[in-house]
Amino acid sequence: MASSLIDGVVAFVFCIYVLANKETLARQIGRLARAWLPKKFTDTTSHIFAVCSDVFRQFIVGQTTEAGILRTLCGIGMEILRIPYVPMVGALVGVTALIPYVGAFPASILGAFMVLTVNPFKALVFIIFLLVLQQVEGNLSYPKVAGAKINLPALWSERKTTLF
Amino acid sequence: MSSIALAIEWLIGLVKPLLIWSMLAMVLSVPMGYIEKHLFRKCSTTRKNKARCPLAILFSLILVIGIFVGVAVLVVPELMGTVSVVISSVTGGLDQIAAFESSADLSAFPFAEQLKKLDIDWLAMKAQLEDWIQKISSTLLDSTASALGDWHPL
Repeated sequence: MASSLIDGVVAFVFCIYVLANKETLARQIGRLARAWLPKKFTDTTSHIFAVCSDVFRQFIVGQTTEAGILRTLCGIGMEILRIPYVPMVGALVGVTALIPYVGAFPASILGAFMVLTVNPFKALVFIIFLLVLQQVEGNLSYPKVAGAKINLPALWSERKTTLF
Repeated sequence: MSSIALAIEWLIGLVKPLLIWSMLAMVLSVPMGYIEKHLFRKCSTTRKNKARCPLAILFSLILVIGIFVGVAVLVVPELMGTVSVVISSVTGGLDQIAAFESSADLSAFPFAEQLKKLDIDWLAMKAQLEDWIQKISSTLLDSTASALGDWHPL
């Protein structure tokens, strides 16, 4: 436990240092690579890293936008259907939607349990509502928003969602 | 354990903090870049330009930590309340069943013979349930503490 805590603290401090000096570090690594490695290899590698960094950045932005959309739609839907625990379940859905593949499923299980203690029928309505919402989000909204962010046509994003 | 396995374990231990910080830095660089781009955009003083990067780091840390703390503040009290309501309902229900079984005259009910044969110690079941809940909650607390320790202090 103590060693893990130390690891965590060290990682946190290094992370702050890297973020604070990221331009300088990138410049130094570039100079080092240009000095020691073949030019073609350096150019290709730096291009790959630049593309990866850009795509990852856009993916995070897209995923966050999508989580925000899902959280808003979930909150509005729950208000309309008069399902209890709107702020709590909405916030949980928003955060868990950030996790790729797993999505809002843990939030839906927890939310259904919470609603079940108040009204079992509403819990059933909540599960159906969230399943429909996730299908709509996964097949319509996600390919459009996240696909556009990473320059992937909506059709391929949708196929990726269906396949994986 | 062989020396190769020990060496691998040592290497993993060495690389683990590096992996954690690189992942953290990659995720934090996204909000940081956005904040840095929009912070003091119209100011050209050197002091403000120098302060831009540390402030962007601080704001992105506050943002990420704030999201998780906010969700925890919303979720944990509600969840604890619901779980305690469920536990008290179940244990109260078991108490009521035990009291009913000891006081009521079952011969008046249909299937009275079968009901008499049904020998369930409801109070023992309640005690078992309470014991199980206690074990589950302590395990949950332990695993949460170790997960926090294993992960990072964010």
